[in-house]
This record gives sequence, structure tokens and C-alpha cells, in this order.
Amino acid sequence: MRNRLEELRKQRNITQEELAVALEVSRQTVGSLENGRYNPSITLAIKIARYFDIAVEEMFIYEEEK
Amino acid sequence: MKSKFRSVILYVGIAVFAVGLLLTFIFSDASGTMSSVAAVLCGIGAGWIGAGVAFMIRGRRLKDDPERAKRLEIEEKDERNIHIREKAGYIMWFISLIMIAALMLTFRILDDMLPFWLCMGVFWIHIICYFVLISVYKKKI
Repeated sequence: MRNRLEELRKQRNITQEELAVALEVSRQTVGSLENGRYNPSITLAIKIARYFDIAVEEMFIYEEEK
Repeated sequence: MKSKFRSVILYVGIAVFAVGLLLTFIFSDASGTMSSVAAVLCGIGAGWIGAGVAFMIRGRRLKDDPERAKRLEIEEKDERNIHIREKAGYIMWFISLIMIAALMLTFRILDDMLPFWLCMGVFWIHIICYFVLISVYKKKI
């Protein structure tokens, strides 16, 4: 699963720390999400989408395995 | 960690240590199983007292530093951290099983049958608990 977290965060000039505080997660979690090492739960995915005011599927792009 | 839980650790530690100390005085002349049990209870009690005191000091410190307390709470409830802890615990289950099996094998080679059968019991309890928990969570989730 790809996501646009880093791109949208940088567009809005927010640091990982600020985003982590807003989402009530650790900064390391934000880093892992951005690197694609960790896929969030539905709850966190919705929280992230709401924070950036976009749909979940705009933030997280599911790519089927070939 | 809840302050009630912190106190429970301390009080249980004090109680276990007191029982151990009492047994030490009662069986002071004996050099058998009971004096060993007393020593083990004293050790476990002292460990719990130490942990209880450490948790209490940490709790008091965090009371004075709400920002740090909030950060630690976030770290504890962070879903990635929970996922990491669960994954580590799952792998640790297999490692424990291998360690118990290795102990079992060692006692069998040494022809020490009581610890061998004890390890055998622990080995099967370990496996049975795993499947019982799977069945419990299948109903819950």
C-alpha cells in the first residue's frame, strides 16, 4: 500500500512531530507510515484522512500484487 | 500504569517478603526444602518491592511533568508500538518453547528425571495455553 502522507505533510509545512501530536501517535509511527514500512489501522487511516481533509482512498493507494 | 496497580505490586511484594522472612525464622535450623522456599520467597518479594518502589517514584515524577506523562502515554498506546510488542511476544513464544525443549533434552541426557518431567509438563502447558488462547480470541474477535 502506497500513501501520500509525506507529500501532503510537506505541502502543508508540517513537521513529523507536529503531525504525530495531532494524530496522538509517536513520531516514529509517522516516519514508518511515510516510508511504507507500516500500514495503519482503519481508525488511524481515517484520522489521517480527516486531518488532511481528504478521502481515505486519496491518502492510501492500494496496489494489487502482480 | 495505573497508580492502583503500582501499589498492588508493592503490597504483594511486602507480603511475599514478610512470609519468606517468617519462614526463614521458623525453619532457621532446617536445611531442606522449606528453607529454600523461604529464600525464594524473600527473593521474589524483594524484587516486587523494588519494582513497586520504582513504579511509584516514576508515577510521582510524571505527576510533576504532565507533558512527559502525555508523551509516554502516547508511546504506550501507539498502535505501531502495540503491533511491535505483540509481534515480539509471538516470536518469544516460539523461543521459549525451544528453550524449554533444550532444557528437557539436557535433563534427559544428564538422566535427571524429575526436572525432565517438570520441563515436559511446562512444555505441554505452554502449547495447550496457546491453543486455549486462540480459541478464546476466535470467540472474542
